[in-house]
Amino acid sequence: MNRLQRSPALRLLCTLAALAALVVVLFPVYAVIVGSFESTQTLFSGTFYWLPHLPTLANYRTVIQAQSGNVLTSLIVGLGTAVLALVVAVPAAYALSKYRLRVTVVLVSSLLVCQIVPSIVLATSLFIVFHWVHLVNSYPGLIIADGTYAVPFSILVLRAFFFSLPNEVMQAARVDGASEWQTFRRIVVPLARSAVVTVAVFAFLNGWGDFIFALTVLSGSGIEPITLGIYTYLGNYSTDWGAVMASAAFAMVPAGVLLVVAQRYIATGLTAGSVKG
Amino acid sequence: MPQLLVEFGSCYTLEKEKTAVNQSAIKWRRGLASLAAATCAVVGMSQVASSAATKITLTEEDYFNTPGQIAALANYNKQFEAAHPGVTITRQYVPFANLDTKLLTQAAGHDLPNLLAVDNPFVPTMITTGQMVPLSTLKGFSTAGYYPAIIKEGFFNGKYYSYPVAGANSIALMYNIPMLKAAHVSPPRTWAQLVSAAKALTTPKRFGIALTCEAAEDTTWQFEPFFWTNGGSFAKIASAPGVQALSLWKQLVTDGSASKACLNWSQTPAATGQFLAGKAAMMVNGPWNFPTLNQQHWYYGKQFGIVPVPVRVPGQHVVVPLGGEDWMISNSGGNAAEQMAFQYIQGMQTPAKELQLAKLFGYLPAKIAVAKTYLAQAGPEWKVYIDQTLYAHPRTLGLGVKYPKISQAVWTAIQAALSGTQSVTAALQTAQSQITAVLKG
Amino acid sequence: MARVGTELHEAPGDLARSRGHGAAREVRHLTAWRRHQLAGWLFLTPAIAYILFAFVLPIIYNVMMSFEQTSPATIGSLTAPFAGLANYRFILGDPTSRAAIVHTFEFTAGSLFGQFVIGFALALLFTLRFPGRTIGRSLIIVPWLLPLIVTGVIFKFLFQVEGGAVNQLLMNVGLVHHAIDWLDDPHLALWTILIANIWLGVPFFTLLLYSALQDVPLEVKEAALMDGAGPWQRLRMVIVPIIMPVIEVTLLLGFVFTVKVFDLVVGLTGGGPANATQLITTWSYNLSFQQFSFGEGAALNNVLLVLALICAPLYLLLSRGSLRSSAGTGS
Repeated sequence: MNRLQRSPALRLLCTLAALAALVVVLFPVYAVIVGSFESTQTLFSGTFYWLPHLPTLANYRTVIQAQSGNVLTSLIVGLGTAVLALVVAVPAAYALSKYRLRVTVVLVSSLLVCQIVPSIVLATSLFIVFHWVHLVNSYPGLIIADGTYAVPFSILVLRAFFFSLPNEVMQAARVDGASEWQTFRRIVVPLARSAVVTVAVFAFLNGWGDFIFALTVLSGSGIEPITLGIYTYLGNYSTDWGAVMASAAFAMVPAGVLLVVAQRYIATGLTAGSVKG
Repeated sequence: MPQLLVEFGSCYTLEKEKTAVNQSAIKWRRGLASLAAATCAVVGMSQVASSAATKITLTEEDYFNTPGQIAALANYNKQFEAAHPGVTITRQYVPFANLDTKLLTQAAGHDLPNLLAVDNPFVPTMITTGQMVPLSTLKGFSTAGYYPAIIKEGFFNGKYYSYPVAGANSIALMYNIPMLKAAHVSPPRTWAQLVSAAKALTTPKRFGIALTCEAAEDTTWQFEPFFWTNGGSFAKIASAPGVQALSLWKQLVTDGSASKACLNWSQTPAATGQFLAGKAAMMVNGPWNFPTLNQQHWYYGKQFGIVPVPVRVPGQHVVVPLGGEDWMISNSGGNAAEQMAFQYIQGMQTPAKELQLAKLFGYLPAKIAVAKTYLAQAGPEWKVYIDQTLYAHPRTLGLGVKYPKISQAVWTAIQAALSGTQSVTAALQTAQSQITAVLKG
Repeated sequence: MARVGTELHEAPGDLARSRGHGAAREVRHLTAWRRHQLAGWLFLTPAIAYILFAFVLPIIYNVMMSFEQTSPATIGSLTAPFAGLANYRFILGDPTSRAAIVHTFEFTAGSLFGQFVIGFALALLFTLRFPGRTIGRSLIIVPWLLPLIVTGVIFKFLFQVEGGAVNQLLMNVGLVHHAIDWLDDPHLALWTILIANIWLGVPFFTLLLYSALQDVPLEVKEAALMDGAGPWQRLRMVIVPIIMPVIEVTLLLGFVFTVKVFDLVVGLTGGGPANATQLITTWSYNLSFQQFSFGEGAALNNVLLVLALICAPLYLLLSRGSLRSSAGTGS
């Protein structure tokens, strides 16, 4: 391999191949951004422009007016999902990795199975169950539903991380007279910071990007996350592409921000959650 | 005290405008402004009863989307709120294809809006949810003067559950006069003429006709005039009348005279949009489009003309489905809200109000006497619609709650045949077995 | 959580009291063990409660519903009359449901194939050293981070007949002369959602396979090189066997993700045209929430659940390492 690597022509070829792949991967995102600055008329004109044809901010004005509440809703849901995932997953992962409990194997197996259960199966039932416990059309309801993506994943990722913590650290704390809870809160959680961030980032993205639960457990007016807002534009048949593009651009913002700010957590999470979990 | 003065003042000016309305009653095409007047006059009379300053918010859900309909509701709501201090009306728009779903979702959560404008074939289904208030148990309800077919839409187990929203409607063939002239085509009256006209009108830039084939009730509704006029009945949809009617649609698509994209098109606004953009020379559609067309400076006899839905054999009597929506009140809001909601829809049932609303909605009034006044004032573009609407066929007649399932089988078959996933006969046979199961069950 | 805190705070006191009494050693050990058990269970309580409420309860309720005769008249209540196997009979007889099951298999198989081939190729590419590989690797995961409904909407925009970027590009290059009806042609639409889903899933495959390739020891690669193995042989005989466990898990997870796909299709085609892209998920949604036949929807859901859970034993087998590691790690 190294022999091959020395050829500059080959390296150029590799760069070109990677570039081609990136163009395909990133083009749709680029198209949305360009489209969000086009007038709806241009978008309807039957010609695709590779650069904004007649740049305008009209779409953003429309969308900020119509969707800023929805963006806030999505933020609340995303943060709520992250909080729920952490509250449930951090102690559970700790127990499942550092405590000798008879339930561990059963519980870890069921978490693996939970990851497999399709959301639509849960959504249909949760819709009716939520009505009876008055969780429909509420933030807690939607967050609990969105947690079904994040909770099993988070427990498994954090558990894999806790395995890497030497037991001596906790032992030392106990010898110093710390209770189980103090050990957990003062020693374990701070050490797990990076894994906790990874999990929180993923849980946030799950809550932010969720569509199926928003579609099913929010039946009435009131709470509407941005994913649902985009869908409503589509449902109107006379699809207002300008508005769709601008709201899609909004919906992509967290992914962009996190890609820049939390790059390493994302890569870790993707691999850790799937293979080691 | 100040409150009273304001109300007195506003009603004074409105009273003046009302006189003006009467004087120029015929010119109701520009009736948007005058609508407000009549509303206030009517609503004003009942305001004494509701002077209590209790705060009530009534939510109202509908799928109305033409400028005339939107303005009519906005004005009525404003006037109603002015006449009933403490009452707020919140209007919620839901696209046609989603409204039935949304209503049932809300019913599942006992979370229905106070006021529902329900497409008439869905009224029986809403009644079976058990969450509708029987209007005939409320004080002041009366069926007197309505066309029986219309008021009976909400009749179930001896009780009436609905009032018509703005009357009734139906569909006919609308065509673009300049395009037909340029292509030397006369408005088609038979299926054969429709096929050849659509072909002649098709150019690389436009289609001969815009069909509606989305996965929703409006597709079945568009198909019904062709199907029923040809002697079809749902119980035997796979027999000759059905096969012939669907083959006609299929041919329009195969010829390239109708766009395959119609699989995503609603009747309004999608098909209307194609027609207005000059991308389709003809469409089957209803009079609620008049305000939209006029707003874009399309006038009857100049830009567009109307003929009845073409028939297969000359001499066939055109049977169209009876269209329109009904106000229903849900029991989700408690007694006070129900009473207020009833006042809201009752306020629309006075002759003057009904006339106003019908004009703005582009509907035929639901009361016989009002319809007569209306006909006397109506322009020539109404002729076809008036002639056929009074004899239109209610979709749920004899089918009740089974209609939506049947309709779904029909539109699924239409989509399958037009998209080419199934042949016309195979698609209709599939629908036949589904319909038979529904009728049996 | 607060409860966990207080109860555990009392524990050190007990421990201190018993400290120093030689005779109480046995007792102390027992207390410590019980304290350990109690703390473990308390840490698990929120998770167990959550799993029971958000997974176990809905799944049981879904099974119940699949045996009930639901209708608009029953939607306001928690239960409906017993229907026997009628809903399952309906699913097996209904042409759209059957087509949805077939589409789901086609879609899943096609997606996995495309995602694996492209993902593996990219993973190999990124193991080579060339300018821009780091930035390339970090940008390649973008599709995986976008909300799925957004991806659906974007592809709907790109695949439009008129003015869609894809058609325009193909026509500019001269590959086709007429605009292709990507979304409205029922024979093509399934391919279109397949393309979108492959685009969506490739980063996941690339990243996992890439990190597995990174773990292949350099000596192994060099040894193979010394033996004179060509690149293809090296890949097939040396590298693939080493990373096989990761390939298995990746394919398995890919299967699970694909069988669940919903948002993408709803945004792109809504299951149309003429139900040509109706998958089990979208059709189940349609049955439950559009036609309000919750019983039929639940029956179809259970078909999907069984299909997805077929993988469960396999997944557990592949993850046995992580299951086992729980055994020997007490404090």
